[in-house]
Amino acid sequence: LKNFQTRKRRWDISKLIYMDNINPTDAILRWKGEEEDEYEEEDIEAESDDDDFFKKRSSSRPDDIAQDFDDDMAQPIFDSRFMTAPAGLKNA
Amino acid sequence: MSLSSNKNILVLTGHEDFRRRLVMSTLSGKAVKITQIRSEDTEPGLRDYEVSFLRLMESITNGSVIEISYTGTTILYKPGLIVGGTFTHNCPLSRSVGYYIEPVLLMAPFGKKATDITFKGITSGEKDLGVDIIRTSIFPVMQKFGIDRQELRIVKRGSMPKGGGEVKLHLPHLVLQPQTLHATKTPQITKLRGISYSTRVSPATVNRMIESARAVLKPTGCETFIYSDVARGEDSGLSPGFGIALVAETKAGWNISVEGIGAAGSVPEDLGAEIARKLLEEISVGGVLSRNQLEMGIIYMVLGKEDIGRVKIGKGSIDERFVRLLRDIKAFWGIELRIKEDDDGELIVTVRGTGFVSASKKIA
Repeated sequence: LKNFQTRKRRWDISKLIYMDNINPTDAILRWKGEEEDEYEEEDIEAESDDDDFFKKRSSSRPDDIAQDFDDDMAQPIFDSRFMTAPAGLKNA
Repeated sequence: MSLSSNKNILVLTGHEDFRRRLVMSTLSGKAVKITQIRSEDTEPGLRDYEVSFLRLMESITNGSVIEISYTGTTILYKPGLIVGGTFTHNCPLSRSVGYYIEPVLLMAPFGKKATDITFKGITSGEKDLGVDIIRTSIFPVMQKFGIDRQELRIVKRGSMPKGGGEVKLHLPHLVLQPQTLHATKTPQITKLRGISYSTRVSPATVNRMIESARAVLKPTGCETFIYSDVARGEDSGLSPGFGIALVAETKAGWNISVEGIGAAGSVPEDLGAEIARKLLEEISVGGVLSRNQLEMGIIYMVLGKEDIGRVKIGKGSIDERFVRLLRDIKAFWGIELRIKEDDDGELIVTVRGTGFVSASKKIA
């Protein structure tokens, strides 16, 4: 509760009022801390798929694992045999 | 809303705060160009009540120049001198007389001569301050700034939609500049007062509103007295209607007020109870200036002499309208107000007056 209260009064209203890049509605929402709450609510909803995500990972079938691996890995896999060094490096 | 300055003409956009911007332009002496007035609306441009307000500005000032574009979406206003005077203003039925009286109260004390205006139309509407609220809640704010002897006489009450009401506004007191205000203590409520009125409906309606409002206010333990005003015959305007205005009076002379009018099909008991609850809500907001007094109080403080003025307001008073007010003050006078939280959890607004002196007086 303490953290919640401190977060709500984080913005100084005197400064928010004169920030021309923020419209009056957003200025009030920021001051009240309501704008951030909205975002948090959205994040919580987005994370509701997490259960399914981890279930797939725990699957024991090799085909599923391979498919998940292709779909979910963010880092590309390079085969060094087919990679050529830059021209300058070759000469050195 | 956005603003920019172009060759000594302040350029603002949007239709919001139309009246206040013209009043600020007149008081600061800065010409203003307002663009994009409902430019995205299916009916773009100025509304009839805004055009009527421009006519009122022409009447109360001398030498003002108003130019409206062909589509009505842009207006250029070059302010003249506030002169005041005696005349009648017929208000369109789209807004009540409070829409016109409020800006007059901000300008008339700095005019060349006393102001006597007869307003004809709807005396209490949904969107604007009603005549009872102006009399009981706005006039005391003016008195705090050294402007007194004002009078608003209700000749006839006029309800929506046909109106037919008439009020006489008398502002005899002319001042050079408002007094500096120091009000940093939340005043204690001592009395609850009110007025319940009706036009062209059964006189029992007012008593029904009073009873239900009193029932809600009883647990407060404050002395409560609600007057009744039943308009009959020629004094009752052209449409049936009823309403109630409640005021919380404080020891220090600040009044907190709320008002409601009966819509078609509404029950008097429900209205009375609802407005009584609204009054309690408004009291709970705290501060010295209530939400319907804030604009006037802050503008008078800005117009004060070059001294620091302070006023306490509740946190609930800060809304979009307040933000727009402070931004407009910066645009017209170039000053920023300071807002700090005090030990009670309420806010202290600190204003350094601009040292405004009535232009009419300087010439005289």
